[in-house]
Amino acid sequence: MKIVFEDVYKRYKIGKVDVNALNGISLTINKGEFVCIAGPSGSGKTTLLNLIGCLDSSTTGNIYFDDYNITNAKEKVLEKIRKEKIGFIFQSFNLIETLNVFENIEYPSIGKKVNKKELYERIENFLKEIEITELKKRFPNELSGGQKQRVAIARAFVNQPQIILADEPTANLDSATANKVISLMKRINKEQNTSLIFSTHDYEIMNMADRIIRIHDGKVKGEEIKNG
Amino acid sequence: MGKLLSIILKNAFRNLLRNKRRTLLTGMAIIISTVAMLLIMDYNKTSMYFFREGQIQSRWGHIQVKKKGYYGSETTSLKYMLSKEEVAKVKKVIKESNFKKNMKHFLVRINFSGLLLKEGDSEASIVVGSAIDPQKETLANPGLKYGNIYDGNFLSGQEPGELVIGTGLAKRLNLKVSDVVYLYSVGGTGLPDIMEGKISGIISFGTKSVDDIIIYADVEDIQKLFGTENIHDIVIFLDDTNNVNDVLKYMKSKLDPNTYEIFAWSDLATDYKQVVSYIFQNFFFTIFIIVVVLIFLSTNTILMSVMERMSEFGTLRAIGRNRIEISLMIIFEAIILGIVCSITGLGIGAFLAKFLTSLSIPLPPPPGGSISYPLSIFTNPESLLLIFLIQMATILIATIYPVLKISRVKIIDAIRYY
Repeated sequence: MKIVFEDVYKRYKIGKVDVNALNGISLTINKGEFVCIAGPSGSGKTTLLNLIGCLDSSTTGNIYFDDYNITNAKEKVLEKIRKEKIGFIFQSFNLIETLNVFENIEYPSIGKKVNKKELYERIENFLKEIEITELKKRFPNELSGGQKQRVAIARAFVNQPQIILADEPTANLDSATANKVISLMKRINKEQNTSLIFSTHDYEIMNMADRIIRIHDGKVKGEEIKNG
Repeated sequence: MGKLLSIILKNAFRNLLRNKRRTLLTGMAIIISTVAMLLIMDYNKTSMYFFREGQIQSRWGHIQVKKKGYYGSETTSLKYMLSKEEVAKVKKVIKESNFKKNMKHFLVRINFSGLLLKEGDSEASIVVGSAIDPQKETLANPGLKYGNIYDGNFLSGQEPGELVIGTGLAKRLNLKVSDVVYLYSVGGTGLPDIMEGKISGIISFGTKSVDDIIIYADVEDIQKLFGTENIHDIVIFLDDTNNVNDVLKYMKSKLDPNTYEIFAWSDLATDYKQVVSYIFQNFFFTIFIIVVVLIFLSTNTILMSVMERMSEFGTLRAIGRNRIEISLMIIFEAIILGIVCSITGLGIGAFLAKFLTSLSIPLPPPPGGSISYPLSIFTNPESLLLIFLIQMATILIATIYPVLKISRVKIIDAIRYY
């Protein structure tokens, strides 16, 4: 799915202070791209990902998914887009503590019209691929950070979404695990032709992306094509 | 849908076990309030039952038949009395019906008032009396013979001129058992009639206003005094209070409404209704307080649990789960806790009710009653169901604020909430 931002602004109010999180961002992310949003803390990375993920709405400007303008879409429509087209990977993993690994991965697919057998096969394959098959009955509090992030990746990919958003997915991981996690994400991205957009301020990690979009003070400051 | 419901339920169960101490605290509040409600409700219901039966037994009977026009006129008027034939007709109507087996006692009474004077004394006191058939009346209300008698004996029905008076009256006129007295009353001639009598017993109902004026006489003595064979009231006792409406309906269909007026005990016992209404007001107020406290306590603990999981709810919204599913999760947790704890509370309450009843703790007679009953709390399915429903409603109300709170939080704020 192609994502287009046209002169997008996002303003927050924190107490009495107006914060301009995004200041007229325009960009395009093509289907299947492995993109890194890079920038220092407070540059607007998370806000940008939130807007792509339909978790928040822009103050002005337009956001298109393919040719569909989601800027003023109703919550129900955004909910459907999140459910069917987007997968999320969070910095703090955000697994559901009361569900085991298998249930956490399965949860986004529940209620969707999918073949149960196919879905379970897909989950099992994912578990095998990310090497956590033996952990499927464990609960999140019984997993290490790296294992949790693998589960989060599986949860994000299992629905075969068109976009995966990962907000600093390696921030809570050691560098070896972080490299493994990004490699894993990249591999699945290539296999499934999913657009994968992640944010980081870690140079080593950002260099693994196909394209780096650098943002600063809510504006695009530059782009760098690494691969492809 | 089935899978979704199953995972929501599973999640709800596991969330309850996640913070055991908090769940235990909320659970204990539900259990204790359930026990309290059950004991209060069934104690009141049982007391009301005994009070009702006491009122029927000691005063009203189940059904009263009076001469048309008597009710609401002068209570001691001789104008509206039922003749011997009219009394016999009433008895015949019941005896020839299917309700014959339901009739336990058939009594007649005359209501009278007058002055009572001690022999050799000039001081008199106003009395309000009931002339009864001592044998039948004490069969219907044994309390007169055994419970209320303060000194001497109740009317034997063997000796003419026997009188039983209240303790207040005895004190005022300085009367003792075996004292000779004169009863002045206005009978059928319209002139004062005098009866010489002897005090056979002194009685107390525990109500000063009654004990100061009450007098019992043999109905035959009062008929003689008034020169009549007529009576004021036919008082019918049935085997079961629940049969009153059927018997009443039947009697009304068989007896001439121009001659007879027929009343259920509940038509006459206006003070009973006041007492019941007062007790029920107190009862509902107590239940209301318990419910309000439980709502606040449960809302607080559910809200704490919801706020702790705010980030989790945000994540669920982000992965496409909707507000309804998340609200259902909170509601199901409350319902599971409510069901488990209410049933536990009802079980404990029923056991406690049985245990307390088995102790037979003596209680004073109910107001206006003559027989005391031990502390009794009888639970019944209606109370159990009603309290269960009250508790479920309470716990659901307690989820409203937490559910609204979680529905209104923005996804990005929820995800970032720690």
